[in-house]
Amino acid sequence: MGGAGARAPDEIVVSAGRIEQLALGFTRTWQRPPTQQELVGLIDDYVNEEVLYREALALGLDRDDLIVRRRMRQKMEFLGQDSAPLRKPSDSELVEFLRANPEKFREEPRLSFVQLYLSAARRGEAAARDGARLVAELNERAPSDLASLGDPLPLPQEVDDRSVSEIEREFGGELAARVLEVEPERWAGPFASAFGLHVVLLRSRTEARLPALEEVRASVEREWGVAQRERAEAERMARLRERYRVTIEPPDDRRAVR
Amino acid sequence: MRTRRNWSALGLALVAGIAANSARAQDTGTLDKERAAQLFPAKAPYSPYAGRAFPTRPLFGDTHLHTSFSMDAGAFGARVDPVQAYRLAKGEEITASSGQSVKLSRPLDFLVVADHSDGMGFFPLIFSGSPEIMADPQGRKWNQMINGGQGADAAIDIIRNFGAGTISRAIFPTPGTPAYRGAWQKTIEAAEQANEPGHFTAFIGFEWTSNTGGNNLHRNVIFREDGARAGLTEPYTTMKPLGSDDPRDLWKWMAATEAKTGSRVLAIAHNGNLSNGLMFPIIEPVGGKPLDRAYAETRTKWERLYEATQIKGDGETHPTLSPNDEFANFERWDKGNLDLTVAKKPEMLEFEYARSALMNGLRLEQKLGVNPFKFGMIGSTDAHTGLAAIEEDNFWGKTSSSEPNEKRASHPWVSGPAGTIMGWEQTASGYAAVWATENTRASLWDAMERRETYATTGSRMVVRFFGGFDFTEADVHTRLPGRVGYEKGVPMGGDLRSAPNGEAPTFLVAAAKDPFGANLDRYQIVKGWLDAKGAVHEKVYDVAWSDPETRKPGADGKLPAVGNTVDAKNVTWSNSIGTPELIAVWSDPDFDPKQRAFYYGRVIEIPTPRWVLYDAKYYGIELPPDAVTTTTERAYTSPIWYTP
Repeated sequence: MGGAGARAPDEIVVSAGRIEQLALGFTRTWQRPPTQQELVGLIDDYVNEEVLYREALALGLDRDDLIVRRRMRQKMEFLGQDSAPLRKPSDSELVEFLRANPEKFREEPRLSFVQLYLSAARRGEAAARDGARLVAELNERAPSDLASLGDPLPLPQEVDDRSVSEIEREFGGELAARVLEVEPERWAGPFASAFGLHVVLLRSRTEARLPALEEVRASVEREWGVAQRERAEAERMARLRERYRVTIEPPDDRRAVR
Repeated sequence: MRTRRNWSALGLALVAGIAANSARAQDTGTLDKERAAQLFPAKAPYSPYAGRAFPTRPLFGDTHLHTSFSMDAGAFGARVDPVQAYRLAKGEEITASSGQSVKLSRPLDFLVVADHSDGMGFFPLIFSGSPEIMADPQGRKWNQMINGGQGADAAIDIIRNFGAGTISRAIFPTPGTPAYRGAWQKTIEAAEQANEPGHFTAFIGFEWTSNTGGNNLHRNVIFREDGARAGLTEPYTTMKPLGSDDPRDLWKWMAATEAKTGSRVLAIAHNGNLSNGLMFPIIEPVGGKPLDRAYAETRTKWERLYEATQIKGDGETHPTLSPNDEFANFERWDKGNLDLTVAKKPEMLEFEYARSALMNGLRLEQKLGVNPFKFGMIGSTDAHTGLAAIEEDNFWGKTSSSEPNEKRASHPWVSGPAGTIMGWEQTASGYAAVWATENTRASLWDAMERRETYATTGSRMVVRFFGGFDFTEADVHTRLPGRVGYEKGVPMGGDLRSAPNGEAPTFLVAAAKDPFGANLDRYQIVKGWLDAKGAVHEKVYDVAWSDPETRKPGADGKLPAVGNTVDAKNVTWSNSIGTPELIAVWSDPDFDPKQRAFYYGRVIEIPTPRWVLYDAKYYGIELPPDAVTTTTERAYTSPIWYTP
């Protein structure tokens, strides 16, 4: 201890603001302000804490402590979030973001079509042949009562203005991709879905397009925000890492790291 | 015997119907030119769907997802907040709390972020280590445990203390505090931002987590309207004096909330299997008196649906209750209550499972004039990860600590005096399927209110279930089961009354497999009824199944099993068995027009690999010897009730 005594004493200032804070903390816990005597005790305790804290730092006690490391990391992360608050993007920024990320916002082609189902469970091998015949006959004469053609399936026979991926999700197999390619207003198929075969009539197709900002403003804003946050975090981390040279020493026994 | 004979006759008719259908489809399908010209001369094709008002496709979603805003989820390491949770549900790839990338195989149609109201936003608060938290011994302890890498232990300690009602009031966000208001506002904002009418519905909701004594009486509350209305209130809690653990007080709050906000609300209970006999009581658990008419009226008004399957086990029925049902032994969590502090006793089961509750509901209706347990079915995840990801090959676990990792199957999930539930016992289930006319809050909510819903264990199969007195054999040939169903009968969740001339009700059932999933084994109808002596009964009928030419019921009336193609080593299965679609018309062979009854549909898939097999293959690990490795995904429709 003699060594410490020889050193010029460090200064600890307990400011008026700090005392106020100590009193406030006490009040929150005990639902009343501290007495004069209690306040003196609080200040004394604070000084002790500050002394021990500084001594602990001097001894490097923070370095190998998991709790301290996590807390410090957390504080840095919070700090990072605070330093990059999300501002309101301008319209031109949003338009630029929309154009730079067309895959996020592009509206897929939409299809309206009729499908007649041919069940493999019911028809077996004959399903494909039946389908081809049905296509030929339907193209010769437009049917009126679609509801009597094909086999039962509890999915819509008439699909109204659905996106290609919605159709993929609903029918599976290659149906959506094939309907996208067929000539409108002519029966075609049979094409396979996850259920069986389908004979189809494409009624109309809306081509893929990049919507205007006004149509998708909310999702562009959301995605812009996500991208901003991710970029800011990555940049900040990269900046900090520039200050360090990182050496990774692989363990001798390579199997141990697998 | 009458049942079976009648059945066989029907079965034969069905087989014959199918055989004949090929020819007949050719008949009707082969358009003879002259005949066609005669029948439909020069008339433009018209759409049989024009002007239709009925739902044509089910919408799939999750009504019960927790995020980092739920205190226990947060403590278990959940960092995914409501904004991220909605993004994942809409099909986007996000980073899970464990740092891994995650994406759903297909987007969902809707999602309810339902964080626990008690202590909503508590975890971010504990995590922050604010002066108030650190000044409290409990707050300080949990903060240090979490920051010291003992998040799981902290979570268990928090749940125990919450169950025991011993969380310090000084640190707990309660209605009226800024922390609580802030968490609710953020929940609302996330839903408002994610909601896209016509494409994706983001409901505003929360979970009211009554858990006194560790007995699960939880309910999820869902608002029909938008944030401007939901923001006029704050979620109801269970801690007195602001909240209550009595469901009757929740219902009072719901009535007051509708008046105050102008938004309708509904509540969905879950996990009766962990309530130790309290979820569907005959004796009202808080007051200790037999249920009265007021209880029955209120419960049935606010609780139109029940969450019958989720990660913490399946709740349709239990083998002890349904010994003759060979599919009853499915994903059981029956060791005790939620925290396993009290062991299960067989006499509790009757008051925990959906089927027995529906049966007791008939009995109570006879006695009180109102059925308190007249609920429809949905499934949901109850995931505490912010990830509604419960497919077998994409299962992200109950909590963030059970997100994919090589130990999650063999690690105990919860332990208590009543036993241990192992990680592998988590059930990769379920979703809610809703027959709504369009994908909007109002349309989905209204469909839930009329119980036009079914539960699935995660598979997105399409299931129709209609009841009426006019369905005939010919209806199995309909290409439009929906249109015929609505014309001649009522959909799932509906009512049939006073059978004309004592005629038995008929049912039109149809199912199509999940287009990305396995084939179907069979469609069953589960009937429950109340006899003249006041006793309840149940029976399961097979009404449609794959390969009817070769699979016939045996002498015991049981249909042979569909088979099993699961290759456990390579984790594959094959759709070489089962069928992609099923349709049938069924008439109740044991019907008594004077007896109350309910009927619901159950659709069973062929066996497929359970999620643990995907883990075993990916991580190259051995599974615990008792781990169940195959599953049969299934759907439960809302019942149709018959009332004399």
